[in-house]
Amino acid sequence: MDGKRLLGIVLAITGLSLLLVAAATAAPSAQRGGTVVVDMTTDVDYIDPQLSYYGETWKLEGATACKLFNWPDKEGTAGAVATPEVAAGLPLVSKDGKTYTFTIRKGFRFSNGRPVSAKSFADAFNRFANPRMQSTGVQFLDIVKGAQAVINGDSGSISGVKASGSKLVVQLTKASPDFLARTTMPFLQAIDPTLAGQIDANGINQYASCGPYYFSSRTPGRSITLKRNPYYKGSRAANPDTIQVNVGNDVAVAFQNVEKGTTDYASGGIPATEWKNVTTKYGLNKKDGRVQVRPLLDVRYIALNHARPLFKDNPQLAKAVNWVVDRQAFSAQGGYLFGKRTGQILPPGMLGYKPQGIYPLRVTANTIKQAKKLAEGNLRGGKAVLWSSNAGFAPLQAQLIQYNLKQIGIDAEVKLLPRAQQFTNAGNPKTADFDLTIERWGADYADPYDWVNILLDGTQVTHPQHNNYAYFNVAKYNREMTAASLLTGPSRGAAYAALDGTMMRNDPPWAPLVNSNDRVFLSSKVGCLTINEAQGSGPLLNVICVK
Amino acid sequence: MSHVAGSAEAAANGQAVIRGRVAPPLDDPIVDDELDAPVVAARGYWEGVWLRLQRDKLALAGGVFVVLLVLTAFIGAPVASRLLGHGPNEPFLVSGGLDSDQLPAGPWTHVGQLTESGELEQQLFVLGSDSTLARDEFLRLLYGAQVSLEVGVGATLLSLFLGSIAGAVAGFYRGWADTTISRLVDLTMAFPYLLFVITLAGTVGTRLNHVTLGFLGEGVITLILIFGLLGWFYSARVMRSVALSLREKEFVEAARMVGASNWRIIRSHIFPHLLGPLIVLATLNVAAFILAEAGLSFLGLGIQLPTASWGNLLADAPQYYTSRPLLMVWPGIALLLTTLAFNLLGDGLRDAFDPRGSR
Repeated sequence: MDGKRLLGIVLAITGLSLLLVAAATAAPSAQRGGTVVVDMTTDVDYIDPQLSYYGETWKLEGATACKLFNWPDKEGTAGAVATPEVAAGLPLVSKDGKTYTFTIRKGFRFSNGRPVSAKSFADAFNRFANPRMQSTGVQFLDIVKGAQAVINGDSGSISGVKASGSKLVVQLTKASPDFLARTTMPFLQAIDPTLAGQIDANGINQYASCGPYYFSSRTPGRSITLKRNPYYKGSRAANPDTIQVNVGNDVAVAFQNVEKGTTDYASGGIPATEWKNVTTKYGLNKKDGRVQVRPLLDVRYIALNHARPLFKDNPQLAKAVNWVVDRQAFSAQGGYLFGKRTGQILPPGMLGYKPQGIYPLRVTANTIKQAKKLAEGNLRGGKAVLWSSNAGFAPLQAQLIQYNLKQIGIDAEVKLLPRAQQFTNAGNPKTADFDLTIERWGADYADPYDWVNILLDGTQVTHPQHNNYAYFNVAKYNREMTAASLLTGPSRGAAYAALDGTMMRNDPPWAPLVNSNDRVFLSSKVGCLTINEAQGSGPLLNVICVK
Repeated sequence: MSHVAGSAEAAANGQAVIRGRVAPPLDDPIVDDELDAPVVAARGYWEGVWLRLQRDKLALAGGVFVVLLVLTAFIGAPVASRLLGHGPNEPFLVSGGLDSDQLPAGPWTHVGQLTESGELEQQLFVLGSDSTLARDEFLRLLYGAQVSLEVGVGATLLSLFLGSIAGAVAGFYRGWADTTISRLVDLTMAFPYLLFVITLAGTVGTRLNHVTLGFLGEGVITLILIFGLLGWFYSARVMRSVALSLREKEFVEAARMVGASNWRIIRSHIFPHLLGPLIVLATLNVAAFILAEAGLSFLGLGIQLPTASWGNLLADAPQYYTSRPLLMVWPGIALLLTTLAFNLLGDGLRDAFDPRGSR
């Protein structure tokens, strides 16, 4: 054998070996394909991008939407920085901070093949503001020039939003430090021209979207199916072929399904008492492990309806409720690693959070005495209607609050509602016939505006859909909230911290209860796990792969 | 002394056709001293029913269980509450109500409650805690029996009242009354029951739930109305068929001949004959309605929180089925035994009301 021939054989063997090594490293255990099955205990409100305002829907829209800016599909701090997605880069911002010019990246297409353009985003702004849509989140447009005229029905399109070719120009009424974060919300995702023309307050259940997936079908109360967008050319993962959501299974059923492997993720959680068992059995926060727990920017609270006689101009009773609620027992109903008790508005980790220590986090004989003293003479008949979700452990929590209220002389009637119906009715002044409602709020983005202004700004309470479930409307606080929203840096945090303390001390709009954790239980088939709390609770469904 | 049937009224009632001794056969000449012998009084209708029922030991056991259940629910529950020192809706979260894993305490646990003075008072949970709210499962089971019986008996009375009137009228008058009532029965049978319940719950349900008449639990009236208004058709059909056959009987003809009005005939001659089937239906219906209450509470449409019923005890229990399976067992057994007892009693009564069953 001559040297050339030998060299050829050696090279061939080396090349083949390299190819095999490359193939072995490139092919993970399971990446693309298959169906991820999700069990939801209760139905979503809408899947319409301009209407849905529910964590469960946003989990799905995280996979279907393409936005100007988005949270990267990464864990931890790397996933908490809003980065350009369809925007080609950072926008050009005018010197006064009021005009943003975005350039739209080429290559994004809707699931029907149409290209995404600057107009797709302008359409989203206009559809969002359209008064016939009655969108709950419309308050987020308060800084966009000309949006209020559309919301009021005085104009057909927002004068401050202009699309031309690949350029989108958004003019604001005031410089707003959180505008880019607002563009990460699904409300402002690019929409297809067909959807732009469909104005329906009941929402659309099938539409083309430009993220890695699209909603291929929805049967309200039963199921939602997401399929991979065949035209998606972005950088985000699109691992499963299909994401199948089954609606209506009880937490106990969902738990069994995940244990058996017929469901991959119990989105509505599992029975409260099982968290300890599964944590012991499968371990906590292991890489691609079955039990994952992360702190959330979240609060569970009782909104005290200030529009109804019981709590209207009755701060003493609101304080009494804060003194009497058993936060420890409330948390215990949720089971192991449920969360951390709180007595204030802002959650830990949020700009402006400062421990206030106004209300007791543990009930004693003295705290009950103090509560009774505050309630004395302020009961106004002592009858109340308490709303709660009907799913999982929520009815137990409602009964606990009912008992606590009875301790200060309030006879509360508990009304259990499906979760989406509860907050939709609570946010509508015409249907909000409750005195107290047990609510939960998760951050849309990490900024106190999304907490304090969105949940407590009184100028919103007459809107047909809003999030101020306490119907808290005090002119002084409204002014202070607006002023705080215009600040930047440490002074912004200080202003919100002061608001938190003052409101809770003098006129509590809520009885805050717990900052809960995101607890995730997955089947043994799930891999490629990424949890990004900036995008909402639970694993990123587009990233999940099934083994 | 009469050898034949008693009064015309009795004959018309059709209950006591022959009282005393029967006429002897012709080839057996009557001997005077036999006639003078003391006559054994014949059994009345109800006496016969009672004697036949006594022979059915299972039915008697069912009856005894039902009586004990009623006593336990309405007298035993408040007494137990007084003896144990707490009520069925009080959570015991401070000490002992939950175990170290934050799960409901097991049976025979001593729990603590803070008194006004801040001291810890020890009390006993016989069957442990009901949930992570740490309430007394035993007391909730006893008070739950009250609610279940109230719903079962109340709905049965209403449905039988409506059903027996409608059935008797349809069967007795026939013609357009029968046609109208029969179509109404068909309509009720075809009515989407759950849809009605959900509609009622979403509209006047809240207001109805507050109607307690001073002694019923909240939500009981709602359930009684739902079950009563949608459950009368079965008894109406049974009553109609009985009335159809009775109206052709001789004693009804006799009553008509002596000038009795229709209403008098229905009241005095038809209804007494419906009593037997009605009682049988009632025992079966009570069991069915108790089960239905459990079903509706399971769907969240039944009794108002925090009032305990067997249904909502069963509805809450699945959350703990791996860690505290007994929480499903207690209300399940109570429901099973009660349903069984009412069914056995019903079967026994059906046999007892049938004179042919005297063999």
